[in-house]
Amino acid sequence: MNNKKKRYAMLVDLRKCIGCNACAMACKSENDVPLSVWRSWVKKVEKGQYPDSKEFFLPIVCNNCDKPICVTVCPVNAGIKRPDGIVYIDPHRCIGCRYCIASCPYGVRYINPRKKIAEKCYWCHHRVDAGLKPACVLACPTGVMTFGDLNDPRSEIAKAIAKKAVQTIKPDMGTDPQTFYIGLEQSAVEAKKIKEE
Amino acid sequence: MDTQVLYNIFHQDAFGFNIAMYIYLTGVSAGSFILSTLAYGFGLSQYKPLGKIGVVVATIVLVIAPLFLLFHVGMPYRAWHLFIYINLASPITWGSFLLILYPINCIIYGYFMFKEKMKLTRIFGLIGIPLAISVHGYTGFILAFGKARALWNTALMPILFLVSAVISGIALMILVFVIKESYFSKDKKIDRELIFNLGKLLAWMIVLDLFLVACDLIVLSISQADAQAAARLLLRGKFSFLFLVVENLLGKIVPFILLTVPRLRTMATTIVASILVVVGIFFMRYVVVLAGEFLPLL
Amino acid sequence: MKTSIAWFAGTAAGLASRQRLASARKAGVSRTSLKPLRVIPTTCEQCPAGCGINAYLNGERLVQLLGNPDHPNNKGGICAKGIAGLNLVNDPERLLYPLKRRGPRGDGQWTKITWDEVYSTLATRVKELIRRDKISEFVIDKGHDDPLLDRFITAIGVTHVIDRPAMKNFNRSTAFTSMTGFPSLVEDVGRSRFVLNFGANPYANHDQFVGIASRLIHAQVESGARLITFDVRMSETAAKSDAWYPIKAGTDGIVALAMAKVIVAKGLANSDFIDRKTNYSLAMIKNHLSHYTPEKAAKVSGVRATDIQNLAVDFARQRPSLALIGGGVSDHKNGTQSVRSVALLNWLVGNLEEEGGLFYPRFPSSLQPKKVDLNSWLNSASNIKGITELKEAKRRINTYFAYLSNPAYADPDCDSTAGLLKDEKTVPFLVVMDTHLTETARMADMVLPAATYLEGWGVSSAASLDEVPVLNLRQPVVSMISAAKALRSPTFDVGKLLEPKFQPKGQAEEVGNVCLELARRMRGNTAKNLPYKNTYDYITSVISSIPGLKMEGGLNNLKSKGLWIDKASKSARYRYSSKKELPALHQKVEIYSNALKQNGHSPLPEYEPLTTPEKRKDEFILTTFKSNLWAKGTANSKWAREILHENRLWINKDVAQKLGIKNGDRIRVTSSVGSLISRVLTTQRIHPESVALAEGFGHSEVGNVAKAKRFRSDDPDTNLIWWDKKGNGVNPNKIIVRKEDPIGGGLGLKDTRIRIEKI
Ligand SMILES: Nc1nc2c(c(=O)[nH]1)N[C@H]1C(S)=C(S)[C@@H](COP(=O)(O)OP(=O)(O)OC[C@H]3O[C@@H](n4cnc5c(=O)[nH]c(N)nc54)[C@H](O)[C@@H]3O)O[C@H]1N2
Ligand SMILES: Nc1nc2c(c(=O)[nH]1)N[C@H]1C(S)=C(S)[C@@H](COP(=O)(O)OP(=O)(O)OC[C@H]3O[C@@H](n4cnc5c(=O)[nH]c(N)nc54)[C@H](O)[C@@H]3O)O[C@H]1N2
Ligand code: SF4
Ligand code: SF4
Ligand code: SF4
Ligand code: SF4
Ligand code: SF4
Ligand SMILES: [Mo]
Repeated sequence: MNNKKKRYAMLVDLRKCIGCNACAMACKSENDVPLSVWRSWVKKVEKGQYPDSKEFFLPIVCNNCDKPICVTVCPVNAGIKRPDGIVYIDPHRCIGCRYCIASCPYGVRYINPRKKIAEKCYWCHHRVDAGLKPACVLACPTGVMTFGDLNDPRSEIAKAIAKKAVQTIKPDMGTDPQTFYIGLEQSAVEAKKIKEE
Repeated sequence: MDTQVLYNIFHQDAFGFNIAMYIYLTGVSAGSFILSTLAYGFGLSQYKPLGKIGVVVATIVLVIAPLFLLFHVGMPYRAWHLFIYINLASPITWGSFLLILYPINCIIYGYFMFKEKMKLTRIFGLIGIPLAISVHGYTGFILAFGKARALWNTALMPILFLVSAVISGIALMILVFVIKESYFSKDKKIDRELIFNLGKLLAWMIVLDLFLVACDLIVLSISQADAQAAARLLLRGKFSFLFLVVENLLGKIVPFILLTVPRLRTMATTIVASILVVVGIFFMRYVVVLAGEFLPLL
Repeated sequence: MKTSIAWFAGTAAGLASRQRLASARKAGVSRTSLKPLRVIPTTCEQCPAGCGINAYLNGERLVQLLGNPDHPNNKGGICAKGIAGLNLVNDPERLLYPLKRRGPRGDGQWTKITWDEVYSTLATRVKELIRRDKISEFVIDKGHDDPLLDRFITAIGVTHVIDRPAMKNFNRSTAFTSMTGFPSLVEDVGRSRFVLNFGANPYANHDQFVGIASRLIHAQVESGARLITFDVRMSETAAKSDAWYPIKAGTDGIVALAMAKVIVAKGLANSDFIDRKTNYSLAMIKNHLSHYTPEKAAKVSGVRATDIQNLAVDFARQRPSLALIGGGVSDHKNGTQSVRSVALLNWLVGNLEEEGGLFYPRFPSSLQPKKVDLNSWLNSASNIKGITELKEAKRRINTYFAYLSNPAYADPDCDSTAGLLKDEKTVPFLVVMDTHLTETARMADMVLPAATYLEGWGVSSAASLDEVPVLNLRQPVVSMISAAKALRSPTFDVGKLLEPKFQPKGQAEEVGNVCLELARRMRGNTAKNLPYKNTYDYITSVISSIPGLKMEGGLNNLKSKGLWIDKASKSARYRYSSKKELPALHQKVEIYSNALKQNGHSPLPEYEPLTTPEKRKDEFILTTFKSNLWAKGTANSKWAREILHENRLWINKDVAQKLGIKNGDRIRVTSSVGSLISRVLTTQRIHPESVALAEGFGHSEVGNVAKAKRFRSDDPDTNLIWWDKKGNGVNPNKIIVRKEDPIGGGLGLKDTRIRIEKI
């Protein structure tokens, strides 16, 4: 086996996303995510004027940032960035203080309403460690997501990223996201919806 | 350009009311403590009557404050993790030590004060000042580390918090002092001079506070898009009534007028002004915390 | 394609040997224990696509459903509905016991009964009908295909079968049958360079959803294929298209005919194909199309004449090109002819058995479907469209058996359907077999708990999309009774030890087993025609008759892989050669249909206006559409409902503004059969004359999840339902006017004229 250090990343090719929600649902079942919270979801935004209007689909997962502010702020070191880049939360350590939720610029963390601790997408590390792909990657009917080791030049993701122009969401946040997108539409990121009453 | 979000999830509030309350109480505590040390730490003897009340209020309030934290966290019985798995980069870690050290210091300081051991009182008073500043200032850092929240992510946050802490501390001291003198003292006679002095101090601190708030708002409203959205939220959006009317008009400007216009200055108006400030600063915490996380990040 | 062709072959039941469940690949891992999960490959039946899926089990508990990478159609992909199958099986609100009505019909009071009582009641009733020669009074309404149910129907000679799977696409099926002899062809979208999509939404729902969507988007992104969509609203497909042309509802036919005229006029038609492989000449086509000018089409449809011209030229020049036809074209009163008009575009460029075009469906060797004769198609039993038609025809009903069908909810003008079903004079005895207590079941005299598709056995063949033909196995993935438990059972049977013994949840049962037991009790010929112990016995016998499969390990192989690819039937593999003749079986494409003529319809593709008389100024055309999360089995799915719980009426933003309607306002929507109150979505993505409502919402039965009600159950999630205050939307079928295409008989589900008012 390749014993070089791994550096995992995710590539989301938005050109192929049809907004079907399979990724979000696969995550719910794989990770037993309760109702009312999400590790991944598909944001949908409408833009422009009839008949030249557009609709964008934007699947969102945790960026497993290289400089994760959520880890920086955790008072009990429950947030852990593994050497391979996966950022996860130690469920036995987390006190549920929600500070990571306040600090993450992407809103991808939540408190599990049953367990009262913080959770988020950790690229299904239980699967990755067993040599499997994350559940959402596997589920996606159109193969939007690629997951793999950037340090392995033969990996699908390394090749794709070398070839294509990729973007990240809110790079200005300085967290160095490791979830990359192809065809990211800025207006889909920026459009915001105020909480409904 | 016409854009509309068709689907998005809603995000949990990270902090909410409990944290607003917590920040408010630590502020009150820090403010009262600092007032108390004016006499015992810095030898401003006209404030001597405040020394004891100050430390008692500071200690009691600080014992109550963390209860809101315990309500807030999901796993309160894991609180001991804070002292085992230490992360020095986290303001909450700083806070957990401050929350232990500061009340202990308060108790020691108060003990010597009541024992009339002036020298020791002074020493622990002076130690207490940076602790008091930190115990409240760190809450400013907590918010400031929320890097994507335009309303929080400013270096002004800790300073703004301190100034408003002092304001709420003074206002509360006035109220507690009035209550104590009129119901629990022997001669039931209130030291008007002291109250008016405190009132003046309060007024000038309010000016400082308003100045800081103005700085914050001005920069927010010309900064990047999220910051402008946050400014709009305060000035015209859902939080404008609380921010403009309750926090700043009733909580700061009206008390300032009551405290500074000589014709208006009476015992009663000073008390009213103090009540307004105490309430106003609570809403300042409330607005900062809740408006800060009101706008969705994605 | 509705091509889940079930098999009826074979008799000799092979000796069942021990099954091998676990796949060799380590394909799943428990999140908590990190132990590998057991994998059972099976087939998804949430929609007609029949994707290959893998079920992952932690011990006996089903924990995950993902795509089977070995399946040639979906290649490991799965859709949200497929994953939501987990919610269907594990639903705490499932119907698990046979029930008998207590109190008046529709009151919702039930008594638990035993299956024995069910069987004896039904067997007695049916036997009595047969004895009195009144079997025509036994109506079967099947919402799902099942081979044993079909055998039972044949065995007892039921004449009134409401065949929902066949009804679904009546207009499209009729149109294609009239032209090619097949109700449906395979669309080779993966190899097309230019796809003209008329009213299909393959990026949210399609009869071959995952397979088609993945191929089409790959063609777009990887090979630069262009996708052009005509739709009254911006569907998911329109959103991902290179261009979206909002079109006036029901006018696709005239646009296609105008395009056809342009292609012919510019000499771009494939004259060789038309000469050799169709029954009409180019000159005559040209003559027929003469009055379908782009200008006229533009006036009718709102699509600019220059656009029609340019698209027609692109379509003919950028080969391979393909015209897709969806429910947007067929679900109208003029559906059959509109489909024929769009199909004409494909014939003009020679799109048959050509790369990137349309193909006859391929199934494992010797199981190729037979060409259908239009006359017999039109006269087939599936002409019975529902209880309304039965009532109109004054046919007497004694017993009505609905299997996985919910007409009281899904029929147009569903409240009147419900009224008829509730009326004891019209329907003296109503039996409903379903997984849930549906709107229809509420009216029933007896309700039977149905096993889900994950709890039973079946073999089927989904039309292959580009590989060699494939056979799908559906096997139970939940609640396996251990051998030890079987041994302890008083009715222990040594033979059973060798068979896998699965038991669906509670007392739910496969419809096949119900039919077999009824047949046994009815004895005689019926029993002789259904000589199987159970569904497993049945599929064993079917499979043992497939020679190629037997050589490759038969049932055991199927069980471990979940599918079988018929490598031997190379002849069926899609070939891309324009020189080659069509398979002998197929005759010429009938652009001119004699059968239609004989039945009194126009034999050539024509445009018939939808709205006569013209729609009034204050009226809109209500279109209904399927959301990507909606399927038969997701009505009560907590995960699907969390994402999509209410449907809002789409209305063009400018139009709404003029009417003083704001996003989120509540409005009353009225048609000639009723009215409902909905909230609006003002959007820039819909034609100003149309409004749209997604179907599949507003359930008043089925379960609390479907009704958006929070409740306590074994599943802690049901107490976390947070959208209870928003409600569960509206059922558009309450106001859909029941009208059908006189040719194909398909329902006009997408063109009810409505008025709206703010309330
Ligand atoms: N997710 C999902 N997939 C499914 C199903 C499901 O329930 N859910 N069901 C399966 C079944 S049973 C079927 S029958 C198929 C149906 O598959 P389709 O028939 O393709 O689906 P619909 O949503 O009925 O209609 C497709 C589009 O037609 C548009 N439309 C309406 N009127 C017009 C018109 O006049 N002209 C044009 N050009 N467009 C129009 C609608 O806006 C919609 O976007 O899907 C199958 N796949
Ligand atoms: N307005 C409008 N109405 C429409 C349409 C439209 O486009 N617009 N579309 C029409 C079309 S194309 C269709 S196909 C029909 C659908 O109409 P119906 O076929 O009547 O379908 P549903 O109500 O979707 O589902 C029938 C029952 O199947 C049960 N069921 C689901 N999955 C399983 C399973 O795995 N196993 C078992 N045992 N039971 C299961 C469910 O509980 C459900 O009650 O609706 C039609 N109605
Ligand atoms: S996206 Fe947020 S939660 Fe995820 S690693 Fe980055 S900062 Fe942390
Ligand atoms: S909620 Fe848990 S993971 Fe997040 S900061 Fe607090 S202790 Fe750390
Ligand atoms: S990688 Fe795993 S945890 Fe992350 S969104 Fe996908 S399924 Fe969920
Ligand atoms: S599963 Fe794939 S196509 Fe569907 S929404 Fe997710 S990323 Fe997009
Ligand atoms: S497309 Fe249909 S068959 Fe395939 S996974 Fe989705 S629901 Fe199941
Ligand atoms: Mo359908």
